[in-house]
Amino acid sequence: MSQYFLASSAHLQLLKAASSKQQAVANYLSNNVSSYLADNVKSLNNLAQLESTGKLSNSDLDYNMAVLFQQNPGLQRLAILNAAGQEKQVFDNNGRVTNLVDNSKSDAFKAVNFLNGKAYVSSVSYTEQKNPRITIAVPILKSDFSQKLNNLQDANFGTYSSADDLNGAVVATYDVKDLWGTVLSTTVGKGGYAYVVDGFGNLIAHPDSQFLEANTKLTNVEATKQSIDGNFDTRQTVSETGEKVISTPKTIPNSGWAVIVEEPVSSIYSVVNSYVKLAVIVGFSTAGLALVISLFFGRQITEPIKKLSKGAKRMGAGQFDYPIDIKSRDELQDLAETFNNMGLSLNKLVTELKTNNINLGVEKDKLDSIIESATDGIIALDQDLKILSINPPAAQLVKRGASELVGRGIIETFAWFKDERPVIVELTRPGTYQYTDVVLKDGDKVYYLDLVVSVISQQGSSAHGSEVAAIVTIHDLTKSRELDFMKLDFIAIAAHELRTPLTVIRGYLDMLNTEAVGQMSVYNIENLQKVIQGGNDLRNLINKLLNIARIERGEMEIFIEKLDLTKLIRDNVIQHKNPAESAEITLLYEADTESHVFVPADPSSITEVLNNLLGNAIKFNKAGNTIKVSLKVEDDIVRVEVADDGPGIPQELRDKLFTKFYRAERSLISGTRGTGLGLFISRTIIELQHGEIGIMPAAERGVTFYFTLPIYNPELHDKLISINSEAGGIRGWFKKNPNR
Amino acid sequence: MAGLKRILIVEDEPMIRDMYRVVLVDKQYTVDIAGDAETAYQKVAVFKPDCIFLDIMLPGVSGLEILRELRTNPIHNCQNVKIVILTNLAQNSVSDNAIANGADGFIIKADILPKDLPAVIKSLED
Repeated sequence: MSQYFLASSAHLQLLKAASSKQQAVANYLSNNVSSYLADNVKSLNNLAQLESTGKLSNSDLDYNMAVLFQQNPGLQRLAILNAAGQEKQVFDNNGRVTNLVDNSKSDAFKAVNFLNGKAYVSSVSYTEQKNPRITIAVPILKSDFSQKLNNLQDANFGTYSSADDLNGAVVATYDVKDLWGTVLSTTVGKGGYAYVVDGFGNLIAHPDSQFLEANTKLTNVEATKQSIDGNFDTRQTVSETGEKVISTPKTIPNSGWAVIVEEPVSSIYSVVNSYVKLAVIVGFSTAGLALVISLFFGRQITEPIKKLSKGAKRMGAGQFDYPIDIKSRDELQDLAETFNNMGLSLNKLVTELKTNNINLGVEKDKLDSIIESATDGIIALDQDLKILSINPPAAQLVKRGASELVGRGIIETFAWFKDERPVIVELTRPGTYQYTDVVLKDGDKVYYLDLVVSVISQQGSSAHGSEVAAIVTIHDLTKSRELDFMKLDFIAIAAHELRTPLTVIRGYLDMLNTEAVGQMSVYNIENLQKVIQGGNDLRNLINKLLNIARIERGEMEIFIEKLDLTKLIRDNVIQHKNPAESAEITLLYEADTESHVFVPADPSSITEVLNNLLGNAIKFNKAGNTIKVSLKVEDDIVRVEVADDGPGIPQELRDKLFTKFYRAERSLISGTRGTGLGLFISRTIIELQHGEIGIMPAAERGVTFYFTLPIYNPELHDKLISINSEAGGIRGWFKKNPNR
Repeated sequence: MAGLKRILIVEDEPMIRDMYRVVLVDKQYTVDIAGDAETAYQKVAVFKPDCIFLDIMLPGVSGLEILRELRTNPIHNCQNVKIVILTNLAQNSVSDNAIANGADGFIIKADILPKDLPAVIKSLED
């Protein structure tokens, strides 16, 4: 009797213990599978987010895909699909897959399309080698990512508002042999085990492979039915093998699967049955009890160590938050808790790092898109002047793709010149360096560029090789230069067309003037002089326009000789006597020396300057005013002044006077004649001959223009001649070939 | 070379051509004219000028090409004949080109008066 009493109360105890043990195991397995899925979904979502920006370069995408293979050695194949379901970029565990296929009809792609942003987890299939495989797919959303990105970072399983937001999918196939190993190696009690069914009752993992091979559907098995119904109580049922079992189903979140843990009733009782038998044999119940206790304690020591070792392996594989559940109330439990705490800290750290990585990626994407979309060329250089990155406008200058140029030296790649000398980008010291009017020739095509080189760290400093040492910004002025040249060509052509009739007019007028004067009335002779003056004015205007065109093209030519400036000025003043007198203006010439002052200069151009200054003075003064031309020697320069006592020039206008077409706006206000080209041309002429031109600080009355020139000495003369090498010279209107 | 007396004017614009001819004939020069390259080569062979005033913008063959032909082709026997380019083109490259191809001088027509031509001829006579 006592035996039976003992047995039945022991049975109840054992049943209760088995039940709670089963639930713990089922929970553990469910968590295990679920977190495996969640981790991988999270990784895929991260990748999908990066891709969704649309700004990830192919090499960055490669890198991020490769990382996933490192994180989970079970990953077999990883594919990025576009919105149409075509594979865009694929890796398998052997590397890049080049044979891309249409995936639009695949379950994974279709499912992602109607799962409303949730991850799709396939059922388990088995390869010929009996390896279990699953496929996980997550959506790639359209690039309006800023808000959704935040949503996705919190939600493992994603969310998007409509199918229009979909821009593709990330599809990954995993070998879940290791995961299944965890499930299938689980033993419960003496004869207990675990298996996994999907939401339709299909067996997807079972320790007894014959069940799997038969593609067993277990909808008739009570525990499976129970799991499909969502009832997860521990019950005594009949197993798939027809055995009486205690079974515990447990849902696996994120998958629609359930794990079922079961243990034959017979094996649960076998311990107590054998004890009962022993007790009968020995007749001493305490001995039996001792045996039970020893068995129990033995299990209590080996079980935690198994758990610890399993936990350590998990952590080694990167699953830091895997909980080790040991309630032994001894050093082993302490160890497990330490282990768990360490795991939690590590998990937190790794999660933070992952988030930072994503944020860095997003920042980099933003920067890349700014550089990519800039219209100016931008090149980043490393310490060795090698191109780290280059945007399309810069790469187009040498007709290359941006990616081709990365890693090449900037000096070999861009042969740019300034004033016929190569521009060498140097990293001698940090700062910003500008190079204007740089020329880059590519075959027949000539580019005109402004360069700005920002040196961040100098050459040979300890910075790492792949860090940006300098940024080169290229502003392409070619289009506006071409327009300028077209304008100048137009001026040249127009001038030619104007000059031909002018030649005829001036020629015949002069013939009239020399031959027919005797037959003319005084009145007509005066009229003829006016027409001749008009012809000369027109010629001067055309020549001014042509000079402007030459200045703009940098083609202004100066022919230096040893010039008697005293004589040139005296002659010029005499030429202006007549017009001055007709305007009733007094014109005086004062030299502070009687001797001749020589300058290394181009006589025709200095004559033009004097014509401009004296012509203006006569034009802007009124009857009764006086114009005084003077020449002063100051050390090694000579100074020529044209002073008047007329209306003067307001201070605020003085700076503008020497700019091109200044008069164009002023003449509209004052109604005076002239183009304003003369002073601009004069400035260029004087500066080309190393002199200075300007206006003296305001006097009480009138205005004083001045220019200076260096005084002749043989050394300076030779130097100027070597700069302006063609010394044949324009002699007035006749340019003679010095070599013939 | 002293005494440049036979002057050939190569110019397609009759008004300019006649203007220069009248003035030069008045100064006792012997003057002939041509309006294109073909005529110019014929006149060089027959008229045998001492000095040629050569326009650039001519119909068909340009004055610069005529210059090159006269200087490089021995058939014209023109190595020592004075050739002065007479044009209204402004570009520096044109005058540079002319000088490089053996022109003795270069004049902008709009900048001179017909009466200046004898002085130019004199300056080439040294």
